Amino acid sequence: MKRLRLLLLDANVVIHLFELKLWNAVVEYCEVVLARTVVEESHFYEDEDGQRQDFELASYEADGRVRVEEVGAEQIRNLRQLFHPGYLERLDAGEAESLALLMQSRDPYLFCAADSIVAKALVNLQREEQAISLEEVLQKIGFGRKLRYQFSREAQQKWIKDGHADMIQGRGIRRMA
Amino acid sequence: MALGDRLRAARERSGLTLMQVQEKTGVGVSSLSEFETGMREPKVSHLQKLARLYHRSIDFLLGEEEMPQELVLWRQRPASPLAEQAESQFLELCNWYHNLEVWCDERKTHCLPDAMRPKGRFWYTDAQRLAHEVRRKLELGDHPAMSLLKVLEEVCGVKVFHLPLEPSGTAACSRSVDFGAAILLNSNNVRWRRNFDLAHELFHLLTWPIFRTEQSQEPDQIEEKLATCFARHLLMPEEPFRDAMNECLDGEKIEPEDLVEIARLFDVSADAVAWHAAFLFNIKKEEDVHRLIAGAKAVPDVRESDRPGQRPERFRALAAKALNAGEISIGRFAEYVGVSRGQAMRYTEQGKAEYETVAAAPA
Repeated sequence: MKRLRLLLLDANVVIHLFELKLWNAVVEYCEVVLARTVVEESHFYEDEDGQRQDFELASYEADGRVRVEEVGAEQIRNLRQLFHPGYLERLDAGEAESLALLMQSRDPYLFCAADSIVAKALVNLQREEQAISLEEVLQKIGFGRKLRYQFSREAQQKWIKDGHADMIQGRGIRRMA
Repeated sequence: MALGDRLRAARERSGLTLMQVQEKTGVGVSSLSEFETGMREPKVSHLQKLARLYHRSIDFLLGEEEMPQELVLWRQRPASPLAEQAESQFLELCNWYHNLEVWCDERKTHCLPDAMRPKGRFWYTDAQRLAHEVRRKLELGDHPAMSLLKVLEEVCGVKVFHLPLEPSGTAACSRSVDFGAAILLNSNNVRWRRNFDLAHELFHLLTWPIFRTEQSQEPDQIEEKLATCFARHLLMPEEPFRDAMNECLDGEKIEPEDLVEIARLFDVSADAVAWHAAFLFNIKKEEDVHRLIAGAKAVPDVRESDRPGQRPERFRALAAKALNAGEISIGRFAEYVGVSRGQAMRYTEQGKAEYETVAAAPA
């Protein structure tokens, strides 16, 4: 029985989970969904000595432990048109595709990105309740621990607050006339 | 402009065939063809591979306006398709730099002064005069090479990038409404040759409104000679140059060792010194100049060159600032700065990117 359903992960989180050697635990206890470009962006992490450690996600997709979704150019274009020109340029392709997946679905995805600009984008899209920190994910599946700041609940809350400030200042999402 | 048309235009601008794109991305020729003709819509993962290869953003590929006019002027253009690939990379870096300036709200207000259009044809005396004015306005002092790069970047907002280019001696420049003025230098060249290329390209930027017309997009031989004249007079201003020569010569004729010493003083090549001396000291015989240059090659040059990074220091500082302010994602920051995601994530330890670490990171 999965403790967290429809958990959309960004590349930063995937890489960090491999660093922490918690990837398999998250996959076991969560219904993990990855955007195709996130899979293509996640190949290795650097260990404490700075040495590259490769990993692969293909086998997880092949045997159904992870679900991989992708969107077409049209959906990204639709997402792009919600924001001011050039705003999406601040995000990488994996984040943009993940947001597009989230927006096109009625399913209650939770998006774990560990990135300030993503949290702000979610606030702008009025989907902040779908943002989740890695700290919270690990707590919910019984693997709670202290994490680096960007993966913490504290960081997530700060970024959501920043996102509200952005909205008030008219940054990010286009406002309809 | 439809997505398919933009994809084809971006591919052609980067000098690649469909077969080459297939080899580099793994996306089949038939799929690529269908994307370009609009018969099939690419997935985001396809767009990402193509965007990376063409040095364009996905945001750019999805744009609907006409492809922008992009002109890159070369000093010794490499053979195709190397030139197109270098241009694509150069323009991508320029656009990234511009993005960072916008996101950090640090667009440079100081601009390069455009050269005054003379009443008649722009000629060598105009190039000399322009060099004098630029040296004065930018306060470059008696040895301009020492500060020219820094002043252009930090005061004038010129975006200067260094990429490994072949053959040696190539440099390029571009101007755009969006990113402003930009120069590309060959990182394989020694510093003193890059100084000359920098000054040479600066001429093209300053005279862009004069020489870039509908009829004349590429510089002709005369314009190139004017640029060389400008560069010599900018980097080796007459009075300090004469003083340095007189101190070396002490009444005797010019020797190769003198050339090398003057070259070191002004941080240019011995060739440049030789031709400048020929002009100022009225050496009429070309073979005398060639003899001096040949002789200078035998004199050991004690200078050590550096290997500049691809991304300028200010670029990396802006990237760190944008990351700290939450204006750019970690993945995008990693791409812009040329580091791995893991390294980018470590920069944000404790919620603050370490500017010094990013600025010092190998670019």
